[in-house]
Amino acid sequence: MNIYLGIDVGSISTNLAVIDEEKKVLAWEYLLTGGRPIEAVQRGLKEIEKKLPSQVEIRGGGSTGSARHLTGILIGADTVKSEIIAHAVAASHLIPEVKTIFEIGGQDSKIIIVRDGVVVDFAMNTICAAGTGSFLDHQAQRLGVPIEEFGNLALQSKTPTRVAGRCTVFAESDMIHKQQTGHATENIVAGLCQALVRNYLNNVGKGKELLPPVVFQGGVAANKGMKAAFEEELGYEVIVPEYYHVMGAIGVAILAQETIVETKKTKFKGFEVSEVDYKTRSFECTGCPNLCEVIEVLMSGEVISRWGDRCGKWEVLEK
Amino acid sequence: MKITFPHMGTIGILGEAIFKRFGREVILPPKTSKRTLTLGSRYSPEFACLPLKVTLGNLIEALENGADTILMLAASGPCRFGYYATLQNLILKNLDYEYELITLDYNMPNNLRKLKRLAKRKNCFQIGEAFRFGFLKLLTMEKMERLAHRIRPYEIKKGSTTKAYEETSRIIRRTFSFKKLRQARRKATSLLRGVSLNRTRNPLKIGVVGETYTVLEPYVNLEVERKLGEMGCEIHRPVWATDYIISMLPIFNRWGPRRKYRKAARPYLKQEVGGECIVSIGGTVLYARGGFDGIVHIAPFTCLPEIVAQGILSKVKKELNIPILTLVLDEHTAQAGLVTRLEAFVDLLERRRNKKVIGDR
Repeated sequence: MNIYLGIDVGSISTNLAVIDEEKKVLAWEYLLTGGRPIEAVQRGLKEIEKKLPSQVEIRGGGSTGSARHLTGILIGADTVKSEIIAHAVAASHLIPEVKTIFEIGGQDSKIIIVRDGVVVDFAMNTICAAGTGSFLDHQAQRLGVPIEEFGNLALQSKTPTRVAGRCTVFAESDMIHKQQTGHATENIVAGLCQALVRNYLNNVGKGKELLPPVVFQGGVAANKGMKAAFEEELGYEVIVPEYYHVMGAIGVAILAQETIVETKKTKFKGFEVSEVDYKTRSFECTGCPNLCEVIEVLMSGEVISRWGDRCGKWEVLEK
Repeated sequence: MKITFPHMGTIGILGEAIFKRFGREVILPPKTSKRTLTLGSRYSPEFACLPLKVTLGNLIEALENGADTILMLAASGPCRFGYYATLQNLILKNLDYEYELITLDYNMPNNLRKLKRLAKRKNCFQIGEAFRFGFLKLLTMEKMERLAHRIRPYEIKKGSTTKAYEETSRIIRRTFSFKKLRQARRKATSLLRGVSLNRTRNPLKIGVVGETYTVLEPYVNLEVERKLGEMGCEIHRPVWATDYIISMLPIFNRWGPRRKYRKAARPYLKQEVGGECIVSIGGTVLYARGGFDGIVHIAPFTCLPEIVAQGILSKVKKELNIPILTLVLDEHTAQAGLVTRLEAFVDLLERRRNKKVIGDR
């Protein structure tokens, strides 16, 4: 069986997905990056290999997410694409008539506008983290609610409390005041979901035409309270796809398949890369007052790639 | 008297050429770097816009290198820029730097008097020639930049155009006479023409519009034009230092290079509202009509004219059906976020052009 692998390495989670020629998801893996992308990718590869049937041939691989370039070098990716395109591709594949995609992850959130299967516009949160998963996570901790139960608790609320959502600092002080005046936890939790939705639609969705069907994906889509808050604000159903948390990986696997149609031959190094010794190190270039921090990737002690310099003098490796 | 002025892209060439011909010593600030930004933002008001901070850093670094006369443009427009000289003068005086500040504004007779003093005992003809030379030199440099924008998407070896362009820049900067400039221009052109290209590619055409300083200064915009070029895009832009200077002169203000942008912007904005707002809108309209694939709109954080432009551009985007990516720059902008947006934007344009429906094979 021919399969394609997609890896999405974000700041919070690392996701892997394997699809077959029919773009059906065969296996997926979701693990925390923990600030060590290389290890996360290697661990993920080991785990997902166990889930696959024995008679498979990897025809292609792709990487996305904020560590896409590093991952691309690590695994020998056939395509390295930004998260935005990967998410759009996956959503359009699973829900072909999709017009709007909400993606809220751990550290960033984006909105993607699709018309007739073509991405026509997108936006990412620019100024603050108040519209992302870490905001919810942080507030859940403050309230002593486990993040897994957050959504269900929010659904129990009948009269959500209004919480200022423009900035985490405002939200926190507002929340403390409400707590102190005796508001029930479920009402505050529901209020937080509404605050986040308001913030997202005002900041990220600013000036965009939000037409249904809307697909809501990314880690935060697990939160039922968020889905309900979106539906209330927009007035129509918001679809959370089955693989909402690994959509980026699925998307880039599809993109890898697209690439292979043209290039025919994969550059993927195989699951063995999980055994190879990869290291990164950095140094400060003192060639000019910019003092760029240059990152080097070493494979078994040999430098295979460098980046981080503005002038490009380190990027090109002498062969 | 050792004259200095802040950088704005290649504009330093103009001042350097003029004052060298006047027989003055010019100390250009070192190339804008992390140190410039650190110095500038340390002493600037926190909420000031990025160009103020960077140019202040430029001035501090030039004063450290022995400059004793600062030349700045001032007066009522085009935006907060009009107050830069006053504010930077206050800050630098508080830091106990000793220098003389000379400002040029819209008061032309006054400007001429100041220039006459700077020109030592040169006569009017010599002064005119100095200006003509400086302008020609800057124009030559911009021609090379335009050429680099055109050929970069075709380059076979990534970075070779930038390398050639930097060499042409060195050659042109060294010349201080009309004859040498002509020779330098020939040499520079052949150098850029010598970059090996793959002409079978079909690059995307992108218009880069926005606030002058952030568009012109590659350090500040994280080399957006080079990045787009190396991703395979041909860059065009309405903002050029020479046009900017011509528009400052009263006679050309009305009839100069901005005219076509004002005309194109008319359905959306009927009058100048400061900065390059009208150029950003007019430029976008002209590029959209010219069949461009997309627009990148650049502005420093808190830049009012460009905030206005951003609002109006969302209507232009819908009516003329052209994708626009707005990039707001500030001192903390990290490369990664910018690269992700640019990559996604280029992907979007490519898929849009090829009418590639997702899931199609």
